[in-house]
Amino acid sequence: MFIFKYALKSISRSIGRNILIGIIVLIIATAACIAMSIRQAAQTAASNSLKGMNISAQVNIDRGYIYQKAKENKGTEEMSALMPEMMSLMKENAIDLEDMESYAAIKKADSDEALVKDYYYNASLSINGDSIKKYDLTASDDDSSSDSKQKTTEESKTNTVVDPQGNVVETPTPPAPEQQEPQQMEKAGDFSLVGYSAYKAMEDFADEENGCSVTKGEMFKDNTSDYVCLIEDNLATFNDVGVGDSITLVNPNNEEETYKLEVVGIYKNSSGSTSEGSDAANTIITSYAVVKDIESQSEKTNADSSSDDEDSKVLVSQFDGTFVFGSVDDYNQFKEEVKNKAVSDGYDGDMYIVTSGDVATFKAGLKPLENLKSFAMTFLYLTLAIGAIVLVVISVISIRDRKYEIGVLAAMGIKKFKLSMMFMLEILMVTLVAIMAGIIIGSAASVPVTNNLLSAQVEQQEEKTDSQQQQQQQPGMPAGNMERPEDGEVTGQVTYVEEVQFSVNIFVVLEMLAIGIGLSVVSGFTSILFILRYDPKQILANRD
Amino acid sequence: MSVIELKNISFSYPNNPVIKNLDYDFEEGTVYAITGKSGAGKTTLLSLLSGIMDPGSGYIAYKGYPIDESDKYIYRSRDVGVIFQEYNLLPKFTVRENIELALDISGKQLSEIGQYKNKRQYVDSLIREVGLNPEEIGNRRILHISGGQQQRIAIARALSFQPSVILADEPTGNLDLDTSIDIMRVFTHLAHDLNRCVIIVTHSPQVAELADIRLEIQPFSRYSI
Repeated sequence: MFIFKYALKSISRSIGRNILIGIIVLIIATAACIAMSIRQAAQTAASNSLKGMNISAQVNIDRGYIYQKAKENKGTEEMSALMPEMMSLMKENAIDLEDMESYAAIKKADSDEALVKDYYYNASLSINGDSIKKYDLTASDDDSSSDSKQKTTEESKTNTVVDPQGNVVETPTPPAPEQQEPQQMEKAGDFSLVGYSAYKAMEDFADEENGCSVTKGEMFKDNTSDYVCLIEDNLATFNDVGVGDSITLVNPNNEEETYKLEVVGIYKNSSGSTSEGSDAANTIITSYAVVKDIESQSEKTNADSSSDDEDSKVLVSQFDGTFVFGSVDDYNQFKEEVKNKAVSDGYDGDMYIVTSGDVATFKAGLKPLENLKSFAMTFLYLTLAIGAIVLVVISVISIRDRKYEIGVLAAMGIKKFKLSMMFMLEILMVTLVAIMAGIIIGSAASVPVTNNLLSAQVEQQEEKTDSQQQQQQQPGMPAGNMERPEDGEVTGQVTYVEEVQFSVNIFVVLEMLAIGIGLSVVSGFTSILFILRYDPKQILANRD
Repeated sequence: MSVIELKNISFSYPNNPVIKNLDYDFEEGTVYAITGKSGAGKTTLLSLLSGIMDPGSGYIAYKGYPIDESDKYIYRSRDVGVIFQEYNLLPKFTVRENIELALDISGKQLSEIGQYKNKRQYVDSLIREVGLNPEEIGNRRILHISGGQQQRIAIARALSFQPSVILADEPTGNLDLDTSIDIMRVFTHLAHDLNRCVIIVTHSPQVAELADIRLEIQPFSRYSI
């Protein structure tokens, strides 16, 4: 007990030295508190946003893997020779409803519960209009519009690619796995007939303000087998079609093959893409059952030409499925399980990739805060290292100044252990008081400082994203230059975390106290080393 | 009864033998004065007796038991009070704090010492015992009192935990003769009335005269009584 009493007295009698130590620790503590607050803010922002977040994800074939496989199979790097092989591989390994159902059945680890909370899908067909014309504001007349559309489509199918040897080659673009364009070689239609498994699968209808909404009529029943559809407002006006009217669609490769659908609703697309292009307005929405029925009708009608033939007339739909997860943990586990399943099914684990625009968008939103966190943590380690060195130096100087005091106390019979504890307590008390002050100052300063630094980071990130987008839009930009993000491409508008509210919590306080104790131990230990070395008689004799 | 026994002790500084094969028993209730020329080894003998230094050979026994390494701290803090030639008080502490610190280091409780209300009352009684006014200097820092006052406080500090042995290196060195005689009376009282063993190193023949036994240290441990 007397050790504590005399340590306190010693602090008060060497006030100058202790104020110096206190100021150094205070600076370290304030900087550390702000750095840890930034780290805490990043963690809190991540966990709060992830809580209750439904994540939608897709399982796709990895284009890079397919390219490698095609190279292995064909033994060449000529893209013109590889393309048919790649197409074939894509087709063979394409994910269908059966695959999707098997993925959806994957169980959570140590539980009978399915990892996938929900799943939905759609099938799309490229088809022409018989009773309606495609909506195209840029066209002067229908035929030229159709030609120009086709030309544009063809032109867009070439791209400049840097092959693994670094040679620049002009090549048709392989279909992106995310979009999985129809792979048939037949003519492309004017319209896209998309059949959804359920209303929830119509992701564009989730956000009425910026997406789609039914303005006239009503939405058809989930996965109805009735030949009903919704058409876009501009398309309806362009063709003078209203609710209750019927439209006739025709197979672009077989003019004899027509399908009649009743328009049960008109929808408005607020995404803005209709003003510039025509694809969004020319999307006709129906149920998955209807598309699959049309596909099967087409197969029967064109029984003489197999869908595998290059000159096939059969309408082939493109399948696209979405899985919904209740948490990021489930999503991450699912990613692993998909790889495992591919291996157990005899594929390479890298054949399929799971991507989520939600996770990618979410991560992109956190990027400035994550960057700031990384900078703050580096700054913290640097501050702690420099602080510890300065404290050790002060301790060494201080202990040499107090050599006489150590000699007297030792000559009076105080044990070296108690003496060491006395010096350690002094440092600990000064450090802890400075740490507490640092926590208070750091807490008060952390939010404005963090937000200030964060706004600069957000600005920087926005500039970086803009410049990346501009680079991507430049013609002749090598496709192989772009790095594939772990969770796929960012979908939608990225909302950056631009503000943190309160970031110092009990964990930060405890960590700060641990830092205080750590710094005390480092500097105190130096003192102890000197104390253990000192011999009282020598100290007192030298003084004489 | 012997309280400290020197058993055939020798001590040398590098290339400088000081004490050789010294045997002597110090008794309770006696004031010893050790005299001798400078460099004869008086202060060295005191350092050996206080346990601050260890003999090169032989051993020192306290109340019949050799002082080993583990006992040394207890011996230094509870059984032997040392008054250093340079006082060795802690300058940043006050007079009272210096005395109280020695009591605290000894671990002795106030109840073991005597009937005192609190430590302050006891410390003040010690300051009075060495002829100073506690109200006047009790709260002064050591640097703010005179050399003579510091010497007396060093004595009060050595007495604070009521050790069986008091070792004093020139305790009256900075005091006038009258004060020196007063201090010697305190030592005589401690030895004769409280049965303590008091060992003083001094150059002063007058002070040595007041001791019960005078030991003259000669180079290489030849001493005479």
